[in-house]
Amino acid sequence: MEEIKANLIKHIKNSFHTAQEVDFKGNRLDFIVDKQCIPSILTYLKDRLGYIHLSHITCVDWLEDGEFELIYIVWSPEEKIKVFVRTRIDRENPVMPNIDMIWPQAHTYEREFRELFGIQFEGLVAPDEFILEDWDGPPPMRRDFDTAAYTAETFFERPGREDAQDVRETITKRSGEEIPDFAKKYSR
Amino acid sequence: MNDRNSQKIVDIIQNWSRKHSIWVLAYGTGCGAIEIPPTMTSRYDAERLGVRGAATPRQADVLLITGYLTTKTLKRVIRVYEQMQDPKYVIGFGSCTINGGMYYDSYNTIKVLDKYLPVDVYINGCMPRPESVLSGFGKLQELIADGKANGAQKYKDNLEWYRENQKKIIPNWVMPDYNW
Amino acid sequence: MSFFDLKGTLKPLTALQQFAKKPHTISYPKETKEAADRYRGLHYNELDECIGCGNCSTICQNAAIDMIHVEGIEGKKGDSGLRPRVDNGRCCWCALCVEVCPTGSLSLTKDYNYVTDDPDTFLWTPGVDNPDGKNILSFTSTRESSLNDFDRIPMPELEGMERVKSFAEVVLGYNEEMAREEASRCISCGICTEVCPDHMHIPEYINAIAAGEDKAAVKIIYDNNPLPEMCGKVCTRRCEDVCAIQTRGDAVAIRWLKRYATETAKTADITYEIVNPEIKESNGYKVGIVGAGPSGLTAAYYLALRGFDVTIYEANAKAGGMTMYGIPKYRFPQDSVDKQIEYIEKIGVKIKYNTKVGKDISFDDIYKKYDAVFMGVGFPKAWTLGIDGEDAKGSMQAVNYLHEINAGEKVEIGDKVAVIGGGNVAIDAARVSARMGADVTILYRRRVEDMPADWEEIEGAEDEGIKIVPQTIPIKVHTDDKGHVKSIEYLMAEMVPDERGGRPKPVPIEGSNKVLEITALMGAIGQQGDYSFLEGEYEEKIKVERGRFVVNEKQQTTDPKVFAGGDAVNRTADAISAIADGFRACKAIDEMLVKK
Repeated sequence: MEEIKANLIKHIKNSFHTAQEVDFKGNRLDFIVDKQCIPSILTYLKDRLGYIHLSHITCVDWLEDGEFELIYIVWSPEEKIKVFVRTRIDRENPVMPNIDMIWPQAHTYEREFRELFGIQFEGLVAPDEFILEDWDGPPPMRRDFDTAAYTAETFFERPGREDAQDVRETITKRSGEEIPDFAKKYSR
Repeated sequence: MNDRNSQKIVDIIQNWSRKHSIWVLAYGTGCGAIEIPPTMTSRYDAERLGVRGAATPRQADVLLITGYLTTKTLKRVIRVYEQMQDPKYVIGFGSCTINGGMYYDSYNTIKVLDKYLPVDVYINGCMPRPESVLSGFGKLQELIADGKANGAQKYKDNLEWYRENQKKIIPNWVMPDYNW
Repeated sequence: MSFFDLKGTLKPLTALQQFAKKPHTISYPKETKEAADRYRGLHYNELDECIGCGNCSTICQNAAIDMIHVEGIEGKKGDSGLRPRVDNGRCCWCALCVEVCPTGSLSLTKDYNYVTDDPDTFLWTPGVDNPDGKNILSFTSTRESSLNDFDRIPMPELEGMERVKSFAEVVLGYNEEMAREEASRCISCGICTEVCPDHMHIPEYINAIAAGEDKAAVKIIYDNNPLPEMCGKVCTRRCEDVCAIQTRGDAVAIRWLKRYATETAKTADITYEIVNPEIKESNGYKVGIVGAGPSGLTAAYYLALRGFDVTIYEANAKAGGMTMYGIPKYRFPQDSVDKQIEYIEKIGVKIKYNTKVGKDISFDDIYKKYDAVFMGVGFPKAWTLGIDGEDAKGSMQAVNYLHEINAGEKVEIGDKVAVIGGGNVAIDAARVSARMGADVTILYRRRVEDMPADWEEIEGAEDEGIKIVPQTIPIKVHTDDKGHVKSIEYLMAEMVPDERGGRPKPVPIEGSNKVLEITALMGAIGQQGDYSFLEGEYEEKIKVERGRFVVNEKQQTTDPKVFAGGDAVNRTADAISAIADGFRACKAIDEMLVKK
């Protein structure tokens, strides 16, 4: 296993100088690359190294860093190794190269990302709507989308629960304790 | 013969026969649809109570909302409900139809079903077990026999109110107007 | 193949053997299937066991549980008075609420069948709406299955016999890892804050510690307690008695966590930097404070923060009052005392040491010089035993003994010491004597379990080889030729239940006299106030009843300009109450002078 991994790292590094590898225990190996490299590195993995199976594409919203991270997971049935190809793109202007010519099934993932994260894929030919219907809000899987507020605004709630009390508040009211503002964020 | 009395007798006979043939539309909307097969098959055998599946909305009497209802499905459900012929009833399964259940803060499921469709019977559970489902049908039969299961009438009377709520969720309203 | 195949003809008849079988179908509703043993149906709440901590409501992922007032349940100490109400239109019966319930009062039942045509009936208060649920409990919380951590992280301590060799601190304190782990046991209900006389923000600072933000914790602690290091070491911690976790396990070590937090700020300078107190501009008012004990220091600190000019008059050479002179150094080291006083002086509090009011300065002077006066004079005088030979040489008061030892003086006690009493002072005197190399016996008139001292202190004393002889009533002190104590004679007692429902009384058994050889005798049966400094008109103006000042809820005495706090006012005789008094008095003085 280690041998295969070392070999793989050597091959990838030869062809893609900017790729950084992150080794994990077991059969996982990560490569962090620039977004322009994505189609070429995936093609290289698929055609030259035998990573013919695209297991998954996933997206992580790094709100604090202002970035999206896209992770392509490919699998080689011969070498039994999962390779995670990771890249980060700008959150403000999320544009990615399209890979559905490498694996046609990537098409579905890309449509999903376009709808739920608002990531645009260059050259993706597909209708605008995928899962959501008549959606006019921001992409809902983005972390800055406030689900609770949207829900409260859009949907109804059954009345009858307005008499709920806060335990801490009930006790402070009874005892006369005054919690200073800087401490309140540590309250339950 | 007195007209009112004869109407009463007709009603009693009608309700009695309706009570014993509840045909359910096989349209599962949420996770609760999985409770229907055991209810219908030999273990609980709902058919002995007159409950059986119907293939199309026009043949069915009961619409089961088995759990959460996404905004997307709501559109179809409304269309299905409006296609159904009288008499028709709606049963709400589980927490999700009552106050949102575990999807209470989801952006794409409706929380309170009776704002969009008239619900005759609610079944407690997440999801309700087949026994509960059978009790639900039992309750519906009781209500039918008493002539209290008049959700469809309520829908007709308050159609505008229901439409307003429905259109709030479905901005692109391209639905045929059925002939009431 | 023959025309008539008997076997083939009869074969279908084997189906008849199914005839006698019971049908597979459950003929509902005539029969129902019994739910599984751990079935998670509707909730049931044992209302008497529930303390309304609201942990179920916090954990609920579906926001299904509200805490509401239930008729007939009043809030009291250790009970918020609220009970959970479950919205069954939200609940998904995951039973997390049961698994985090600290008391184990909440459980799920086998009942799951509920059908209705009215959707507004799905709000249920478990226990109120289904009182019969008790008989069909299925998913219950046990101490093992609970997600709460019921075992306290043990506090590292010195070994029993190692301790008596020096005055080194017995308790070693949590390290960071232990503190984080202990802090994360807290469920942050805040029930403890009501019991704390000072209403410290306990859940907040414990959460800050758990989050790894010790500085924030220190800042929160200093919000209403300027002596937290002392509280962290010697507080009577009534908060831990009502801790929600304590109902089935060990209470969260609130005191040790406070100690940990304050110890992260190593010096007064660092403390000042962390707390970064906001000192208001001087408002021109002057406040005089009698006694630099916990109540006086607290009042002084917060008054100084509010822009008052504060001066404390202290009779001794060091500030701290009983916490300085009454608590032995192995419990509360000198460094910690100094650090706290240094910090309070940094704020701008002036302390005049060696100035006894009534001797070096008259109360009249103070009264006239200041806009308000706070008295935190405490209980300096000990009660005498009232037995023969008590004034012999070698017989002393435990409080005075502790005072002298803490002041660094030498006291001759010999090698056999008897301490009379069962409070913290008695145990302290005994443990100090043990450190001085004496063989110590504690004589107490009731049983060990009746001793008012902390159980930890009693256990610590026993570990250090101190003998505790319960149910003894001293009657006479024998002296030798030089007038020095030689032995003490005492009677054994039996406990007689009190007819009026009070605690049992010790009644001496005639003829059970015993004699104990001793070289020193210490009385520790309680203290009283010394109000001789109130002379002339003030004796009239400031009322004293049953040995304590008469005060209103704002700590104001019968003279509106004079406030009082600490032991001389309250009956609880602990430092945290004194701090609470000081804090209250500070607010009242501020209100009286500035915000009038």
